[in-house]
Amino acid sequence: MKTEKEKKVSVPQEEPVVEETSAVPAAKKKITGADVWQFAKAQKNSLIRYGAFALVLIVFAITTGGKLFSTYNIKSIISQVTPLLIMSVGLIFVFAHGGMDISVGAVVGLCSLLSVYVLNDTGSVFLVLLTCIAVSVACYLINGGSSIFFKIMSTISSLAIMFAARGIVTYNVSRTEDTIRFTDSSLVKLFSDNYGFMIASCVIIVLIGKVLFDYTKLGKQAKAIGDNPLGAAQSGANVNLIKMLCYVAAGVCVGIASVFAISRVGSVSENMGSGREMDVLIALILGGMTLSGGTGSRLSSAVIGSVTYVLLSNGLSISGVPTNYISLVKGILFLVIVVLTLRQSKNIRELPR
Amino acid sequence: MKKRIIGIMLIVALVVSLAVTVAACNNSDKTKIGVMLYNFTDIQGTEIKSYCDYLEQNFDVEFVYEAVGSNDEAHISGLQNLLSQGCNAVISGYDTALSRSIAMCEDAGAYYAVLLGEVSKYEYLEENGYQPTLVEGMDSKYFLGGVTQFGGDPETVGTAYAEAAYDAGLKKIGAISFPTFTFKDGEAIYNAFKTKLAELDPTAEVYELQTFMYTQELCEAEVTKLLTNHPDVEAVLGLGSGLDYIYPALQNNGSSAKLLALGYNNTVESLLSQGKLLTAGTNNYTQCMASVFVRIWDAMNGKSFADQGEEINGIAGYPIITSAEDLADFKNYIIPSDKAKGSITAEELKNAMVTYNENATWAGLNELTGRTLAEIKEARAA
Repeated sequence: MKTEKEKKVSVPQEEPVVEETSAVPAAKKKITGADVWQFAKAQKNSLIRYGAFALVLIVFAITTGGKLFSTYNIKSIISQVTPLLIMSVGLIFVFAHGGMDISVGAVVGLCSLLSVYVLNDTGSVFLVLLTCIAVSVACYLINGGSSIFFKIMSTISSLAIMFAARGIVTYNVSRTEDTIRFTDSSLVKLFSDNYGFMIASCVIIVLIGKVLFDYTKLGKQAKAIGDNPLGAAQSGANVNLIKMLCYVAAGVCVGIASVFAISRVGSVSENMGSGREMDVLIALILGGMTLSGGTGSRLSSAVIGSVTYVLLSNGLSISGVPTNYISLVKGILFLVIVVLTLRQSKNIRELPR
Repeated sequence: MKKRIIGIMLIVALVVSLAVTVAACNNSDKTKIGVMLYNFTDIQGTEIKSYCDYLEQNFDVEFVYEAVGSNDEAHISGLQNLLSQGCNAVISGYDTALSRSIAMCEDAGAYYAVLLGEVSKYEYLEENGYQPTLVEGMDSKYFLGGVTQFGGDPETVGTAYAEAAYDAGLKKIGAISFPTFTFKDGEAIYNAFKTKLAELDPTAEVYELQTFMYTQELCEAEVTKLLTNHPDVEAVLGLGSGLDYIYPALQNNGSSAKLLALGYNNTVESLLSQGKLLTAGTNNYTQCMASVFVRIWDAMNGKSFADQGEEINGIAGYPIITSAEDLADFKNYIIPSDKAKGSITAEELKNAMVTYNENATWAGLNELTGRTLAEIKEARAA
């Protein structure tokens, strides 16, 4: 007998595009107002997501008096988007299978701390990158392992990792009155000042992510697990293995993002990385991601959400919105977009699995 | 069709944005200075903003503000946002991500200064045999230094607080502060307090310094620990936001211990009159701001102090309130709504700048920004 949970499934929010499955050749079909309306309804979430991005772009281009597209600001936006985007791409694998992670900020903090030690000791950026990836993957394996094998809620296991990682950072920072910083930050200029490298890294990681997420068993089965773990298992998916691989993917991305983050800052304080978990969640939700995971998950959420989120923060600030109101304005905009994109449609049905 | 529509939407957005950008590009002649703080809503933030407004009225300058979170990345993003707005100089409340901040300002051709703390030019690393090593960025011409708080002498504050405790006849005193690695002066004040009180009253006992990390919950835990270990405690030397964190924690624990607090807020008047608060105090924000503004203004005009030498930290005073009269003076001269009646007037400021006064000196600036409450009162009366 199936439990209530097993019976419940929500239809993916983005319904299939009508025209692509139509028997009538597209070239011969006359587009009517009704077709456009149907299209708009079917693609509501995509339109809102991209529309929000376009709106943010236009509004801030006007309100910032052109500063939004100044060379300096474009560089700023690239450097702010890069770590967030890379983290979001990794974490989408975790969220897609129904997992949750709130340890990303602390893991970034821990990786950053070790980056400084490794770079100051060895002078090797490659070793820094390897260390960050190894440490981050280890954190996420512990996180995922305790969640999967000890049946601990993923939020709780990531909370434990968060406290442990943050504790290590705070302990190390408190041991010295000197700032823990790169003694020669020119060694990480590739990650801090080379905007071409940042863009290339983002593009490569998004492309790899796209292939893994949409065209391999890993991504497809992760989404299936997010919808219905039992169904996925009965269809032949090795649920535990797929979940662990998703945590590994997240670990690799967070590790790489950490190198960009610490290179941008150059020093580590006890708060390094704090708040990143919320940044990633907000970016993904702004990008239209459903945090319950499943087939509604899109990698484009990470891309569009990260860029929109950074543009929003950057644009509000340079538009001259009083600092006391920035959080309020951000909150209202966030709420509007969330309501528009994540509101359950009346058409959503409860289906047996 | 979906991809086509999204593509069209994005292209239209981009074209409109770029068109607007080209049309709207404008340059202001005013010098623009960015100010970064954790918030602009507490007494510190509002007073700094208020003095900036006063400076705007008296100099050809415009201030823009950025509230930044306490983490390093948020600090850098905030700095980038200010530089994107075309700031010629940035004043940061804190020394967060200092080397990187200086490098970014140098790239943007903007000056950078730290408002609420001193900075060290050298560090003493184990790998360098504890020899002084120049911190990256400290030799940049765009870095204008920091501000030493407590008038450059935190021990004086400890001594003054010990005298207040002695006058009140207190014998058993606890002490709570922020961790030493984040607030070095706290330990210096505590040690001076302990030494002076031992000298004044050898029977008085000052318990060991407890520390907590910046949250109300952790402060509550330390206060509970203090009250459990020393139920007979008569007062607490609250060095870590005494009024905002420690006093509420004492209240929540049902303690009647008096408070000797670093910090100031609008409860000082009532607590002082009820005898629950013996001392309060805070940085003189006007003096902090004046110290960095003089350096920025001179630097922008290609001037500098001949006698500054290797020094990179200015000085700001720390007015202490122990009575209703002190409080009245504090309100009149340290945080007046009309800054022309406050700690440093525009005329005094111009007189301290090489730009306006060729004879201005670094020592003169520090004297001006290090004045005590009594000295400020005397200057205003003249």
